[in-house]
Amino acid sequence: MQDSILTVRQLTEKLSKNLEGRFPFVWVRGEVSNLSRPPSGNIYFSLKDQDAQLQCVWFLNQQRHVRQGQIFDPLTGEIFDAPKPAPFDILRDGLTMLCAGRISVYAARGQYQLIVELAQEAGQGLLAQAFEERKHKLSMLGYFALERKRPLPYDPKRIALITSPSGAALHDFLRLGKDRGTGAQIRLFPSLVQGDAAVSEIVTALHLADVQNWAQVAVLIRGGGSLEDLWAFNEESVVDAVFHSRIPVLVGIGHEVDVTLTDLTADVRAATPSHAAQMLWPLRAELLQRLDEANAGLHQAMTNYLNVAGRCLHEQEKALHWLSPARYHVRLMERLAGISLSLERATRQWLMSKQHVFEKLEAARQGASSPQKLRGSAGHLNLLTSALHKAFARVLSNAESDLAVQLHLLCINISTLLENRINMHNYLTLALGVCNPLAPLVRGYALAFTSEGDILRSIKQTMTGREIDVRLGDGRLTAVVRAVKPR
Amino acid sequence: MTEKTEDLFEKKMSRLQAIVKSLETEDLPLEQGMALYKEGVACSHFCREQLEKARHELALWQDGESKDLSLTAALPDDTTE
Repeated sequence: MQDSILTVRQLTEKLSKNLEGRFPFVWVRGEVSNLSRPPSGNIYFSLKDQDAQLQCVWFLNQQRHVRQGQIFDPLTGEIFDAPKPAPFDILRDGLTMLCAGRISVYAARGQYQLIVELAQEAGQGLLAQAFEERKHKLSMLGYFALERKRPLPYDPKRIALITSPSGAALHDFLRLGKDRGTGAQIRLFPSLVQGDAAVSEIVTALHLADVQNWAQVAVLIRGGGSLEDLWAFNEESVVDAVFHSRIPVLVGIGHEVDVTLTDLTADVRAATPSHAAQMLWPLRAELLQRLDEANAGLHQAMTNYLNVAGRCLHEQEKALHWLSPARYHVRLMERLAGISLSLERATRQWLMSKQHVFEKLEAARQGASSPQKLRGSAGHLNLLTSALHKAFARVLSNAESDLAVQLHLLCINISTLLENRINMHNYLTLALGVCNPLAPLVRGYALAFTSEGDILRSIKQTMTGREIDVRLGDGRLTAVVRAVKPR
Repeated sequence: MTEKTEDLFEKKMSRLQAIVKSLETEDLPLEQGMALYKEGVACSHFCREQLEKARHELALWQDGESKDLSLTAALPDDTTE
């Protein structure tokens, strides 16, 4: 997340790189406005049309060659009969101008602007107009389409080089190429690169390179020059030859600002011949660096590989040593010794406990079966026996005397009891005689009974005419009641 | 240099990088590892030699045939513009 946040400066730099790369050189037509000529000598203005505006700056050092009156057209190379007024002088608000330059980003203001290198009144540059028209036409035909552009082969070995054998371009190209690539064969197809004959020679050379089917890439280069010098590269037959080439075409023409239709059609466009060499081959020092890195990587990887293998081997050796029969034997012996030791200890402990019990029993036994103790016990027994005899005799005699006493007492008691009973009997006999109901009869009393045998206690118990029984002391009388007389 | 062997540098370089990767990441038997290392060293030597003796050869195609041109002739000195 942090990585994706840009500072304003970073963003501006990215934009600037993009924009400046896309528009290294453009032609713009527009109406001048906001013209300002400060003392610094730089000229600031805007180019505008109906609904768009472009900030432009024309730096002092870029104006130098147009400050004086112009004697030739910088675009066409046409020599004027009479010097024309410099664009610097005729520049004014409202004038329609044709400006060429590169787009740059002015970071301080956050705006893009055109850095003007050439300027002329619109309508004057016929060659420029022709260029634009042809460019438009070829663009419509798909000549500049990015989809049809082929990449360059990496580090190509067979190059078809089309240029002048005596030009500075070849020199620049070879000088830059010297320290690049891993050795290539360059087949030079000599060709004029300016003038009327140049067009057919370039087309023939391109065709030849294509037909030979030997080269991996065709390289078309030419040093800087005026627009007129470079005009051959805007010719349709050259552009066609590049367009129809079956091998990729790398084009490096003029200076960085020069853009021809051949440039636009080429599979890859280099800014200059030197740049073409740079684009074609990788720097040998870089290849060497890559090799050094791979080499270092190889040694490092091998060292690591061996270290890992060595460590692995060491581990295995350790394991093997540990698992060897000798070690196993030793381990078993150690275990055995351990077990023996415990066995010994346990046995000793068991013996000791038994010994202890034995000793206790022995002591007890010894204490129990001593002769003194036996003798003591026997004496004690005799003593007890004699005591028992004595006690028994005494108990016996006591019992005998008790028995005599008791017998004696029994006799006394029985005679007393008998006497008492006799007395009681006499008394009772006497008492009984006193209580006898018949006793009074002797003294003259009579007892009357009803015929039923009941004692006659009331007159009511009988009536006149009834028999009654009258008992007297010496017998009985049966009488009849003649009258009942209440008291 | 024939057409067949001309891209050997890149092939050997790729092979060298593949060998390094194998040694770094794969669990190889020792013999194979050693063999790869030897091959890697050979690749490295080859590439280095190629780079050291690398020279572009310039030939002029004229009148339907190729004529050797020495690079020094084409590059007399740096002052030529």
